[in-house]
Amino acid sequence: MTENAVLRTEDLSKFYGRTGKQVTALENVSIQVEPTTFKVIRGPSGSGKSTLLLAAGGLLHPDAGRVLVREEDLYAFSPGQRTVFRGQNIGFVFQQFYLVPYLSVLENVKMPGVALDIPDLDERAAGLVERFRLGHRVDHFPSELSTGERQRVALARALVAEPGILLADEPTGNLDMENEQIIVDCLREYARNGGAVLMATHGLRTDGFDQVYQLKDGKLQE
Amino acid sequence: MSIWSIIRKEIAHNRGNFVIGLLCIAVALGLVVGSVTLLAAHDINTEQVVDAKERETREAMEALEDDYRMMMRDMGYNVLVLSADQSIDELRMHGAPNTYMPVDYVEALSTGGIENLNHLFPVLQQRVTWPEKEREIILCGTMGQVPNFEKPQFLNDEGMYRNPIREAIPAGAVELGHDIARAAGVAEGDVVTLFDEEFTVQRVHVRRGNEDDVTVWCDLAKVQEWFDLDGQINGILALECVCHFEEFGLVEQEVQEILPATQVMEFGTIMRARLEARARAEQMHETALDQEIAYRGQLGEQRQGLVRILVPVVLLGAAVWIFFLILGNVKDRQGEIAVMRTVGFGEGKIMGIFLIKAALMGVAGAVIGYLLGITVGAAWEGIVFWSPEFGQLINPALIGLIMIGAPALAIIAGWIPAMKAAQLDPAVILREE
Repeated sequence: MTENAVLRTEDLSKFYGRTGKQVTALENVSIQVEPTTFKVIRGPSGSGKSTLLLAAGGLLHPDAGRVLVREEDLYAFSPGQRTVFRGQNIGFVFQQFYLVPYLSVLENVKMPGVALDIPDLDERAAGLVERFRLGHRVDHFPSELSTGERQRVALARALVAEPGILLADEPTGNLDMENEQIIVDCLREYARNGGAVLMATHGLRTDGFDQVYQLKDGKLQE
Repeated sequence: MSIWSIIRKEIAHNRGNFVIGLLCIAVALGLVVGSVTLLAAHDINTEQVVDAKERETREAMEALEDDYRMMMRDMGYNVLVLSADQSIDELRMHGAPNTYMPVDYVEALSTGGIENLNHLFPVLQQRVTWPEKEREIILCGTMGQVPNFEKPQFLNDEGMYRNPIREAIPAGAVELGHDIARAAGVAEGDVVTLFDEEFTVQRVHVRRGNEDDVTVWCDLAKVQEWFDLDGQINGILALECVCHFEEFGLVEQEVQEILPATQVMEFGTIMRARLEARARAEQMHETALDQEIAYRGQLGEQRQGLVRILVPVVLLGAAVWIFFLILGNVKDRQGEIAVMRTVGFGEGKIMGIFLIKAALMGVAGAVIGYLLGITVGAAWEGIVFWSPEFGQLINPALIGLIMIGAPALAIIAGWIPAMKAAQLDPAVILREE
């Protein structure tokens, strides 16, 4: 274990359901993601990838184990403190994008700024929009965008607060090959520039990633 | 970007939801304001109806009063002022007074500020035999009516009565009662001899069914001369203008304050008939007014009762409607809420988004509802917004209450859905979707 990991999980376990009918979602999962690395969690549907990302992002309280982001134990925070900490340090990208339908591209990107104090928000948002080749779409609404463009907007929104780590849950699940490549390249570029990426995928590609964790039935495979 | 612009844009995007909520509040408050306005307008109208009825009654009573005054005037004098030592029995037996008082007494009454007497008519009456006709007559000398200066409304510019009951009789003229003229075979314009003097008959009166029918009227000075009663009279006839029973009898007191050595004989039957008729008419108007007040009061109470039931039901209905509307809105926006929570929106901000929207719904609904309610409520009672009464319906306290109460109601109704939104577990939503 390296001390400079942005994200570390220690023996993370999560169970769903009641005693007797309990389903193990995660069992003693320990991973870590360092800056400038792009790591992948791979596994079939129901293997616990999303649960791991949600728990790692401070959205799902684990039943056992710890999640450390920049050496801060996420679940030692109060819910309010955790929300702010998450906003400032963790970015999320989902397969479903979750764009706000009534906000334009630029407004969606700037939305975290309503909740957090983000310095130079306008410049950052404008820069991200340009970087993700959305400059011609700033005033468009999500319904007017292609699927790939929507995911790029979601990615820009996740990065506007300049988080230390980006958690991406099947971000290319709804995309064609071309858009998938664009998103993966964006994530890779983000990692190269000092960020850390942990992406869940059920795809088979393993090349070009710093590490691939194989998850099956909630357990890491050696 | 601010939370305000998120709310504004969401409202614009999902305006159907907002408009339905707003209309719900507008209709509810419209009903509340309309009901309150209706009651206020009812009160204004009641006041106006009662005022109009009271005015109508007063005018009717005044008209009646005037009619009675004219009728009474036409019926003749109803009061006789006599010397204090005049025996009423002797008066009845002789048909004329037999004690005397100075003619100056009439002047004293005329200028004494007496309230209840008019048409002062000094007389000197003697029961005598008309020697030339060998007939018993009542000879009545008069100088015409003396005005009561306390009642200038009945006088003309020269200070004389505009409509006198009796005129002065010039020297050399007489007026005859119906029966004596007929018995003597005399008509108007004839010349008759009375106590060896010739007089022209200037008028023969119609039959009245009393001693006037056998009376011969002539100039007061002539009668004083015949009976050696210079400067004397034995009665002052007058018209008493009493309007209420409780005033009956007061006139004697009034006269005696000016002329202590007199007594007053009121012709009770005429007076009572007048007073009773007036009292009955007054009572009739008062009963009509009371009935109107009772009817409007009953109508007002019925409406108040309806409002007491309607207002809570409508407000509760609106609250329930808003509750489900915002709950639906929360359900529709679960993914959006989850991602907001993910990027750092706290529970307070999420609640704020829904509660501010509810409050805006309340404010807009209040404005529309108030305008709707006051216009319809007033129109229902026949008060249009450009009429002066409309201004009385604008109640600043009600406006304040509505403008605070409506957003408060919307916030209370939206509180549980907003709390539910704030407490949504983003992990559950993101995992499910």
